Amino acid sequence: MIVNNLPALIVVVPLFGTYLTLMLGVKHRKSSSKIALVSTGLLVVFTGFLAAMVAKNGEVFYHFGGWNPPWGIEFVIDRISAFFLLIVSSIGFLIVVFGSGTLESEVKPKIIHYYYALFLVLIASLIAISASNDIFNIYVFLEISSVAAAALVAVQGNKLSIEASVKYLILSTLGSGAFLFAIANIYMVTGHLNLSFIASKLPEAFSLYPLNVLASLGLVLVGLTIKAALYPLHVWLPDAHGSAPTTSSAILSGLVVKVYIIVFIKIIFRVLPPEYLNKVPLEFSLLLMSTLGIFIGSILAMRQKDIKKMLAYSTVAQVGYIFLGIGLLTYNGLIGSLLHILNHAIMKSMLFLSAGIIIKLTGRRRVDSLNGIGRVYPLPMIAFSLGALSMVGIPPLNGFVSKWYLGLGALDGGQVFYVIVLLVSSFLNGLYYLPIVIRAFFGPDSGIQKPESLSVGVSLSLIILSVSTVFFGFFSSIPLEYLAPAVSALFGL
Amino acid sequence: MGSTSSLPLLMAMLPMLGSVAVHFVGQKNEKLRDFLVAAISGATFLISIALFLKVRETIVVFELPWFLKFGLRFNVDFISGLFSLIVSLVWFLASLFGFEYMAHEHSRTRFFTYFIFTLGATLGVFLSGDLFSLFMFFELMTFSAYVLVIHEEDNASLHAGDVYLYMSVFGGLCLLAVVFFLEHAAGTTEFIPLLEQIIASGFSPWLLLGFVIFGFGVKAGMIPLHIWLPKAHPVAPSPASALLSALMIKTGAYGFVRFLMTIFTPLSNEALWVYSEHFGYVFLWIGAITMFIGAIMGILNNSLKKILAYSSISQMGYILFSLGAGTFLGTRGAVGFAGAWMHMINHAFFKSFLFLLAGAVYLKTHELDLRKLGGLRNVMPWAFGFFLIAAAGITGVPGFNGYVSKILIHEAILEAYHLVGWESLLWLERIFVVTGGLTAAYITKLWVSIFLGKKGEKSLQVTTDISVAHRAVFGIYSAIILVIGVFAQKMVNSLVIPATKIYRFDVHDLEHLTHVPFWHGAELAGPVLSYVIGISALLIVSKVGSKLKIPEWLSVEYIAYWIWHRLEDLAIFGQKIYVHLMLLIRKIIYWGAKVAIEVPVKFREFGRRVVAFRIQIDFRRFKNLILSLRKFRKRFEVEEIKRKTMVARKYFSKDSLKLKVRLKARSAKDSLKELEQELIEKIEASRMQRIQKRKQQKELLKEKIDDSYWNTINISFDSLIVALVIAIALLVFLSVAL
Repeated sequence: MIVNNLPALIVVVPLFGTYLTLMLGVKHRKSSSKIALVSTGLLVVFTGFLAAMVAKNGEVFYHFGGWNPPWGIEFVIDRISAFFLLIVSSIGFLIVVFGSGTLESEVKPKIIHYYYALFLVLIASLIAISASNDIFNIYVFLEISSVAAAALVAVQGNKLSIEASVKYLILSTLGSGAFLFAIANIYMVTGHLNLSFIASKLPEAFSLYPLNVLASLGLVLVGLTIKAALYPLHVWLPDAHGSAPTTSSAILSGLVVKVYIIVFIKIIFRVLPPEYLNKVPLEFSLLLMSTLGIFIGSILAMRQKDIKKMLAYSTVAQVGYIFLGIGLLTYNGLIGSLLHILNHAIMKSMLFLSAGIIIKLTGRRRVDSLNGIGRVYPLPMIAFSLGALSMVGIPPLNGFVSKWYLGLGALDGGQVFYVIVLLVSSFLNGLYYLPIVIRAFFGPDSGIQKPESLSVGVSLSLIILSVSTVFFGFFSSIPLEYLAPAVSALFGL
Repeated sequence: MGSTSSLPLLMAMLPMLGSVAVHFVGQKNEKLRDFLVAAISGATFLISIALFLKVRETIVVFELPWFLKFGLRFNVDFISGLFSLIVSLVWFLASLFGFEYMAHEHSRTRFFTYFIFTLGATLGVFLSGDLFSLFMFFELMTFSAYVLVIHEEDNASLHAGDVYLYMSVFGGLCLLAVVFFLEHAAGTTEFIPLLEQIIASGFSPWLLLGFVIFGFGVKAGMIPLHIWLPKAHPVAPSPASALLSALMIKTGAYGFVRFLMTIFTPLSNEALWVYSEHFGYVFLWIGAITMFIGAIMGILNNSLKKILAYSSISQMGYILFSLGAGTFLGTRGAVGFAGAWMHMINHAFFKSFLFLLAGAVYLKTHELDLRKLGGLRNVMPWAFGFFLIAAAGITGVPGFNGYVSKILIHEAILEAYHLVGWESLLWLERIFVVTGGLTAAYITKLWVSIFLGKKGEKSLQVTTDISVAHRAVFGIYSAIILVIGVFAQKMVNSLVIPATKIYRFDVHDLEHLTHVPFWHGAELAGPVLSYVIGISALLIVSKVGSKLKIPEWLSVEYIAYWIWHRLEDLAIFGQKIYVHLMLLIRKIIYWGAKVAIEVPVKFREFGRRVVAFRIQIDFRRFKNLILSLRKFRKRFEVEEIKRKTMVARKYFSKDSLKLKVRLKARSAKDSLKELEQELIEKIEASRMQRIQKRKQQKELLKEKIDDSYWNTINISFDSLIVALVIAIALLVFLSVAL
């Protein structure tokens, strides 16, 4: 019973958790973190089971209410979705574990149960987006996720965060609008909302209404790149990620940005017939935007003085990497970008969490004021350093692996230029990450005294994330072998 | 082919894992830690002997295919075996030297932890069987050696460490690019001839060579990629700088050997040897420039360790030069390769010897400036003797090891000239001879100014010679230098000729190597000539040297920084344009709004009541809002002025009150002047305080403006407008322009 309904349960569990936090949170505020912990923990188990099931039996289909597509809503969980589901649930779980120790200092205790409710809604929407095969259903959860994410940004209630979240809302509404128009166009020409049916009808529709299909493709591109913060549509991201509470920044940078990329991959590779890919300048525009994003994101990150803002700009650059891998349209490139989704989720959430805990403990946000912190608070700074080195792409950390596949993908496509882009941007990453690491461990002290002890949740989540940074460097074959059949199926290999 | 053995893995991993033990033992017991360090490096040395005995007969291969999914591959042939033997021997000696040297330093445990870890990483570089494994160990070495460089943690060493780290990361990334290319072109990064595959893949070998030069050249201290070297080597503690200079920069040379001698050679297509010729010619010039400029900079410097660091650059120039000569001649370049290889071995010994000697001198005097040293001959006779041996080694006096390799290098360039007959090759030979002279010059300068002459201010406090342990270490070094120098031909037969197996050298040339004219009159005259050149150069420099100053803009670092600053200016200029554009957009919007508000108002003033009534009311309300805002601001300003005047009044009245009280208290006659003085002082002090405060405020404001300057781009809603514009443009582009 549970096994058969797993695809529905993974959405229902966090939603039910939301309900519980809101109900119980009124009386027992402290219970909300436990409920979040339990529901995300349960989610990890479920998605892990689901991933194993997908690996064993192939894709899992689930029809809601017994209505078959094209009438009913369908969930299709293939290897890529299962992979991303597992990332969402486990990183989300670790963030909740981290938050159980520190969230009280950042969010008012009065509204902490609302915070957890929003968090769980966000996770539910991420899961539904990546599992759903129905484009309108995706749209609905897309909206839910943007509203929840904007609320998670604004939750601190100060001027900066509200401004950031308003900006985020405006731009993501624009993105959703574009996506909705695209859906309308597609529905008009194909008569379907289910992705598989659209895929089967699209060649016919394309010959009849080429303009509509192309326009909807453009709208999808714009809508999803706004939400995924690909340069130059990234303007909302640095503010939103920089001014949100730590846990929100971690989930926003680590997971939320990427779910749109998963949707994009679905639409580009599964729905659009491969021969039409060459008819649109998709490759060109993706490569151009991502290259610009990688460079300008890195350069702007170098100029930042606030550490969280720096990390946010670094996310802009890293999103550029992921889109670069997609835009190369080669097997290795797509593998590289999918691996980077995993690796960046680990690295960036670790970086944001460790930066957040350092800010909380020392009250220092400026990049140049973090001298000697590694000696006072070794664990957060070691986690930060691991993440930073991984960002630079030092083997055997996990960032190196995804960079490796992206580079191979670029060479497979015969584009040497993008190898150089990758290497130069790694160097730029080094230029802004390494000084922090160096000054934290060597050189003069900053006069921070008497370390407060870290809470168990914080240490635990940081340790797990650090270990997984190293683990997925050494054993990159685990995600790789999991993804390989799905990706080669996408390329028809 | 070859035998499988886990010795290479053991050799690389023992120090790396041992470093963890060193770290934990060092927290508890320093004696035990020192013992452990010696034991680990000694054990590594023993393993390397065992490995070397094996690789004399066959190639030792070991593979961990699961590692990082690409596999960790060890492939130890004669070159790798011999050089890893040298690495572990020198490391062992340096660690023996280091215990006494480090005794007065801080954070000793950290030093020894990374010291031992770096041994493993460096050995890994030499033992790796493919470029990917080499790259991994290369990066590990870079990062662990960083800790050795910045050991002092003062500004100079941190700066040097930064330069070192960034340049090394840059080099590492270039190496990664090479890995990418090879993996793509050939599907393997092993050290086998791959030139055909590289050309078949459509990428130019020149592009790849460029990446290789940048990748290994940074580590090898090749000019103009050398800037980190004279900064980083002198600031590190002596045992570390000995290893940095003697062994770690050899990883660069080793990489070049592997690339020029195997990867960039064709497997069967003989027409492709032309690439070797071109690459070799490039390397001849790179080597010549590097050795010449390095030697010149060595003469012009006055710091003991800095001279040695520049000397390392110069000696790396010799190696690259000889390697170039060998590559230039293709299969006939056996002598060139032999020269490079022999010099790599020799330089490893005499340079680490010299650095350790510098450390021994520093241990006694705590001074590296040559002008403050001098006259130590009588106090430190042992050090003086050892220094002469090392100096004879580096300058190539017959009977010492440098002579052997210099003769080989000289033979190589002459052979190239005889075979090809280009005029430029003769010039290169001349540069080589002159550089030999310059080497003699800076080494003579070193030992003359340390040991001879009057006692400098810092050498007065020295009373004792180097300790017995150090004498033992230096004794081993001297023995090695002398043995290689005296039994030159035997050494060539046993160390160089087996190493030539990596390449398909002409049999005739290998024959030539078995009877190198080491003891002919013409060759023996070479060192005499170089000493004549050297001493005359030294005399010229000592006369003119103080007046001679190299202009700053000639230094590579200056040029690099200049370019960086111009780029930064450009970026700031771009940002300014962006900000001004935003301001312009804002102004346009503002003016638009203003016109929209004012035009109806004017219409009304003209008595034309055509405009709809409702709109008027709305705008009137808007106008009222602006007016009230203005009023509020005015009121606020008035309040502010009032508050300020209140404060001012209070301040003045308080002071004058005090004055009155004091006037009353003291008799007018003697206190008036005093009071006046006091008052003047007080006013002065308060003035100064105010200036200080204003300055601070200014700085704060500046910082704030600076902050907001960059933040305008992020926070303002202007960027939103831009994003919208771009989004719409994209839409148009994608859906209509097709």
